[in-house]
Amino acid sequence: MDKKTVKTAYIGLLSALSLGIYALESLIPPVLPIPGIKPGLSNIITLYALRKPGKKEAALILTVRILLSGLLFGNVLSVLYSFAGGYAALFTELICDFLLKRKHLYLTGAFGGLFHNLFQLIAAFFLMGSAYVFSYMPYLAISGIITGLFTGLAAHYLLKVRIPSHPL
Amino acid sequence: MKTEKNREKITFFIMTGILLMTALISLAFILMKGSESGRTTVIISEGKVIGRYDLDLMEGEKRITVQPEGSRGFNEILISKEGVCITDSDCKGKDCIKTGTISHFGETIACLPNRLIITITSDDEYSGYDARTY
Repeated sequence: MDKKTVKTAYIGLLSALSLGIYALESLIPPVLPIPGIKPGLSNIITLYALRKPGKKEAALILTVRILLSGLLFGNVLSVLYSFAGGYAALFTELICDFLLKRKHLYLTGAFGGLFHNLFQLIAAFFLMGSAYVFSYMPYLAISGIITGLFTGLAAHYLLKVRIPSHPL
Repeated sequence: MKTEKNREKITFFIMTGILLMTALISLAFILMKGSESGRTTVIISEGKVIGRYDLDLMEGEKRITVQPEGSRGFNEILISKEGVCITDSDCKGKDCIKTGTISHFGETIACLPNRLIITITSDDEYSGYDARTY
């Protein structure tokens, strides 16, 4: 098999995994009655993809996941929120991973979670037309950091696992 | 080699510091609650103020149904001296109902699908807006 085919299949696999995790996560009942607080488990795949296939592929996997999840479970609004949060997290994680020289992935994850929530609130500000949405910021900042630490650690241990006949 | 390791350590501590500071400031905001007089609830639907009520002057209960023109989504709001809550909504997540009753300054109920925000402010805030009573 040539390398390109393997890579395409690998991206498809990770996208499907990300979508699956996203779907499963939406079944978990919310712990707090504040919109936007959720585990963000598909961030594990984003962090993993950032390291293993690369940043371009990570962006591709994220885009596929957002569009498909919007098509399957959401609407135009939820896609807009996902894009704002997802890309904010991806860019933050890219910069953090560079600054930390590919170490301490849990810190990268925490920053990703924080900026995911921050940019979703900014999106909510534009869509709702009211600055009062920012009163949620303290709750969302803390939840973003905690869930980000968790998904970062999860991605860290996932990257340690040696998958037999790993294509990349 | 040594300076590079030091630099890595510094980056690590700065980033951990930023996260800790953000968390602490957020916690301070959550725990901070101001005085309790002059509470005014402002109801904002689709970016427009559609109602303002002084909670301390409320007598009995007041029920309001918000349904913007050309929209299927509705929310039922209950206002009393004790606070404001959403009692019914046709949105999917029902986060707005689960938020429960708000009564302190700065507390907010949001229904993202129906683009509705209810918040509690002091009297003088929001006076620049073209507000009218529902």
